[in-house]
Amino acid sequence: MEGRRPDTQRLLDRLFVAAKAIGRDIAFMEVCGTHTMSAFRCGLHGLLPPNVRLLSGPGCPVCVTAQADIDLMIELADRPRVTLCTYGDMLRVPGARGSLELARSRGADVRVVYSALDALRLAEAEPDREVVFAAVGFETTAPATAALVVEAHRRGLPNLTVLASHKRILPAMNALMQAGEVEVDGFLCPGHVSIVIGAEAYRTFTARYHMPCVVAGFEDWQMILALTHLAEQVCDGRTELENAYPEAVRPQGNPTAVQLLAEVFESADARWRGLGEIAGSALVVRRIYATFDARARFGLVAPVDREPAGCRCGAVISGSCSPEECRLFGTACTPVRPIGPCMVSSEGTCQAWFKYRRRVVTEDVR
Amino acid sequence: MCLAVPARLVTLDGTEGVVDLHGNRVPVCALLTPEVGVGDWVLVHAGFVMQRIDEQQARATWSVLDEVERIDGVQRESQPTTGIGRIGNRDGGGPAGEGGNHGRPPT
Repeated sequence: MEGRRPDTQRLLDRLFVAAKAIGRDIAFMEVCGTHTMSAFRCGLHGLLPPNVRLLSGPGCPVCVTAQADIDLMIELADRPRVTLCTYGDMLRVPGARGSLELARSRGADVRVVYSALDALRLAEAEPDREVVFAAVGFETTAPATAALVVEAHRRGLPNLTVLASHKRILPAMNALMQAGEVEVDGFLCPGHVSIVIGAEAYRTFTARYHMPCVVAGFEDWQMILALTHLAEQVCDGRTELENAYPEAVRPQGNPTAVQLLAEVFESADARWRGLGEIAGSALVVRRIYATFDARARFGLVAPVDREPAGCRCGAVISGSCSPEECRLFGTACTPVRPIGPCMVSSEGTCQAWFKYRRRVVTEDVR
Repeated sequence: MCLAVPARLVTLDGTEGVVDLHGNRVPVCALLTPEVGVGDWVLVHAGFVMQRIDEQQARATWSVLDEVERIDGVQRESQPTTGIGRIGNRDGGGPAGEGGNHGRPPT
């Protein structure tokens, strides 16, 4: 039953050889919450050469969702006759007035769905309810929302809308480079986003910033393979785009999904938690589908974006501060009582540190 | 959140299908992948088939996920006082919660 799996030790040996030859501290950044979790779970940070660091960038969609967007979801959920559906990760993210979970506890109809199409079935089953699908996620998740809109349009469903907070990863990577605050030597590009947008999507970014980019899968050896490719590029002085996950990621991605995204969404500017406004980084519902856009249907206006006092999630997301440099980390802000979204999300860097790194520190002290 | 997991397509009627996801039968939508057919190994994300993959790759991925699950289980048993548990999973998971009963958190 075993599939192919290369010798991880041999990959690590190659990584150590390249890192030694580079002879200085280097840092690579991943921009995918699933990479963050995979790295911590398999103890990847502890396996790397001492001069190689792996940073977590703005790859967790829950973490980068502006608090104003969370507040909108809560405001909508509190309205009579509204059933707000969303993915499980969103329930506990704190807004200015509590969370969706808290709204549910005071009577709001908030339901967790596994698939966007669950919202469609719900809208058909309960025609007296205004069903709103609050959607977050990068290009991997956005096609499901687009499919929901197209299907709702086809079926002429009058009681279904989407409150989309979808984001595109490449504008955020561009923004990080333009801000110039993060010093990285290469990017580990997100495998499953790349299934949709394709490996070639990073070509311009690689050339513009002379930045090595390697598309990576999510298993331990796949991440080590990608890091090895990155280190060898740095060692050789190359800045190339490589696809280390070709078994799933094609050069042009999934054309059907890309076409569906283009049909339903258009790019717009959006606020990212910690990164501020990023041009062209949001996917908003096109005007032709405005009937299914909750913002248009309910006349929603985004509230002023306020972030919790003392919370440094923004700096953590942009890789310029580690969770332990935030004075709230592990004291006022824990997975049980999160203050910032990076502690709420199972893919958040702070929760990953709390679960995995903090344990290591404790054991060292002991 | 952007995690996709391997599964095998067991039925397909138009764009509506069912996958065998490590022993669980899960309904999927194949709208994004018109090229897939019954018997194919695919990557599933949030109830949607995202891509066809080869069988070896799928089996390799599940062997790693099983290993991670086993290690996480051992860590949970040895760390009973962390009080963290799988907070994100108690509502059935996020869009990648395909493996919800598999014990992995929503991503």
